[in-house]
Amino acid sequence: MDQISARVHEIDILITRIAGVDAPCGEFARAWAEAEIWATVEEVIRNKASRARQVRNALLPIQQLPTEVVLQVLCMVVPPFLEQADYYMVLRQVSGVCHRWRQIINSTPTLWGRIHSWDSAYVVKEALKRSAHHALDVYFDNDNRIRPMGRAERYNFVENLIPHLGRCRKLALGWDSDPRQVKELLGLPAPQLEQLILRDEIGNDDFATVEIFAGQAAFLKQVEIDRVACRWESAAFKGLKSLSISNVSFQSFNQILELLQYSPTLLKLKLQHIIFPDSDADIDPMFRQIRLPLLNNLQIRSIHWRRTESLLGCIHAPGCAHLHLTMDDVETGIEGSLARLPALWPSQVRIIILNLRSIRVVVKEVETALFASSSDGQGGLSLVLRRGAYFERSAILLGGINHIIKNYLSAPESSLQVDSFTLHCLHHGNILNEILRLPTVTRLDLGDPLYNYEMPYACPHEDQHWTLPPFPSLKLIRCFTPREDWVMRVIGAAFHNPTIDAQNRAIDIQVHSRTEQANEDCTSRLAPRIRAVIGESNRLSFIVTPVVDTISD
Amino acid sequence: MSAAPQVTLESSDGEKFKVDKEVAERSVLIKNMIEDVGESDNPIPLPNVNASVLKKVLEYCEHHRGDPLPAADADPSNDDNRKRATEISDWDQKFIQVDQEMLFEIILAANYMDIKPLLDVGCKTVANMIKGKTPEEIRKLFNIVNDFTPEEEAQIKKENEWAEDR
Repeated sequence: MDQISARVHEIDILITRIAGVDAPCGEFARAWAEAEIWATVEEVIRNKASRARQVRNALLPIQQLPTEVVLQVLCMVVPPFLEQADYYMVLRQVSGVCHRWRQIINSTPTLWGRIHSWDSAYVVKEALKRSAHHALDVYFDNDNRIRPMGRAERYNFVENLIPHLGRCRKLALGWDSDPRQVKELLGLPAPQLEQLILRDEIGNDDFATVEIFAGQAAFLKQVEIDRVACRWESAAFKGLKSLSISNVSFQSFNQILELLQYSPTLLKLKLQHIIFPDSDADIDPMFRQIRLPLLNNLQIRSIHWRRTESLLGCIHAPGCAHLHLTMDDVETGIEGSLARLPALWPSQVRIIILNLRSIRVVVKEVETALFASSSDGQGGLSLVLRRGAYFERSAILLGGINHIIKNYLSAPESSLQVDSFTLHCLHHGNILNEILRLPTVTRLDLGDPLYNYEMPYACPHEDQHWTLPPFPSLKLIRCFTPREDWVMRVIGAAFHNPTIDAQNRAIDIQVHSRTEQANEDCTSRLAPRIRAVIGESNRLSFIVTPVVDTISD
Repeated sequence: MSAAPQVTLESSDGEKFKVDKEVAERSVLIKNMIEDVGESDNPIPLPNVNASVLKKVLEYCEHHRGDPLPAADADPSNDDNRKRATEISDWDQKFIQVDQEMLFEIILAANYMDIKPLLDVGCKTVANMIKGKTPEEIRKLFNIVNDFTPEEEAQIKKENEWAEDR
């Protein structure tokens, strides 16, 4: 109040002075001065009003949360690192809510440590400045869907980044041409780097001459490389915890074994579409048994089946809980290959298979994919059917999976995850026979809980007769698809199955949406329709389940 | 078989809650207090938590008794930590379906009592309420009024223009 009184007094003095003015053009001068005065008055009032509103806001329940808790909430609101979303737009939106949130955001350097190539030069500059000396997560991709970059822009972006490489925590680099600057960047020390992702869209360039980070990346633990032929003996690639290599030719099979030998701490290993010129060359005896005692997740996809077998034979990983194999070149005899699987890890095979929590097997990834995995330590099994256009192959593969389940896994229950198209598979005689051999199906998922992804498959006509196979022990149906017509069809099929007593079913229905708004819309549209099908005795819930971000699967 | 050891907690409004020690020790604050003071029949005072909120918090602790305890001091700006926090079980989702006032009270209590998983569930719930909304929609949701000074308004406008100028 004292401040207001002082300003009002100041204004009074000005008015008195203006009243006394008797100069040429006096009228004009008086009007001008008066406008100035009212502008001052208006400014004072607006400042006071905003201050009063700040006090009012401070009394709200949400504003009682301490700064560190508000910060925790904000960190969950902004998009994750590898999501191609406008991080700073979200941050600006949230900081535009109120004075306090803006202050918290502007004064928290860790929120400004995200650098994307699609941000404007102003945003990048501000982020580099406001993040102070804190860690940076950098995403450079000139082939992204948000904003393609020109050559000069790419140059400037990398140039601006070079002085800050020393505080980079995550570095994801993607390019489709002219990697000279990327090479320059990769040749400099990155002492704080923990995660590296390299992706060359074309894959024409050879990075074998670059000693990655000049051998100075002691904290680098997670590496993902796609179409980049690196200098694999670089010190940066030693002691890793997670390694993923895709679409790369190795000079020899022994070279990849040597790479693995230098990372006995590996927890996760994914090798995909890797070519070895010496497919029949002997394995160096020193690599015949690579010990990876911590390895939990092994994925070998689309590698020549003989080399897959060789890799499995060399890797000693008694604790491996997840095995994912893709067998592109096994055209026939899939069942036999799967049956042979336990024999592929010679010394520890039985232990490994018994310890497995999941097995995922993919045949011809582009065309058909079938996954089987035990869901948890209790021995449950879940089976995912996707894109089952090749029914015969799918049925054969299911036969192989059933063989493994029967002989090596204890799975009292199983669950099925299907997409809208592959529900058709369930009517194929051979597939149905294999599904009926699975452990009791208790849960059916329509769509994927992790990904908001629905391929535009052709759907059958609405009037086509359509039922689910008889799953008499079904307890839960979870719908993750945005396709409401399919939600209704699956629920309808489950409850109108002529082979079971629909009246005595007790099935929980969950309809999951990705956002609050979608959930509200979905609830208002679907709740009465579903209730009309399932009656009042079965539980129905609508749940918000955002897509879970994953760096790689 | 001997009964599980119990402790008594006293809310800010004087209500006492007798619970298993294992349940109470989901709160790092209480765990530390018990360790510091030793076994005692005296109630443990929680002057920042009223009875209705404490009852709800204990319901959470009871359900999650035996869960592995989370790692301390995780950096929330790190995606890996954030990811762990974003996974909410069905039970937790139903548990946290309360009115806004109770939601913020639970978050405050979780923060005060140092129950990290409950704090995560609360924060994630608030984050989901905010996601995808415009500043005006967020203000309406939480009954916040626009309290920016004229200078801040001008600065925000300028920053938005610069950010759009790619």
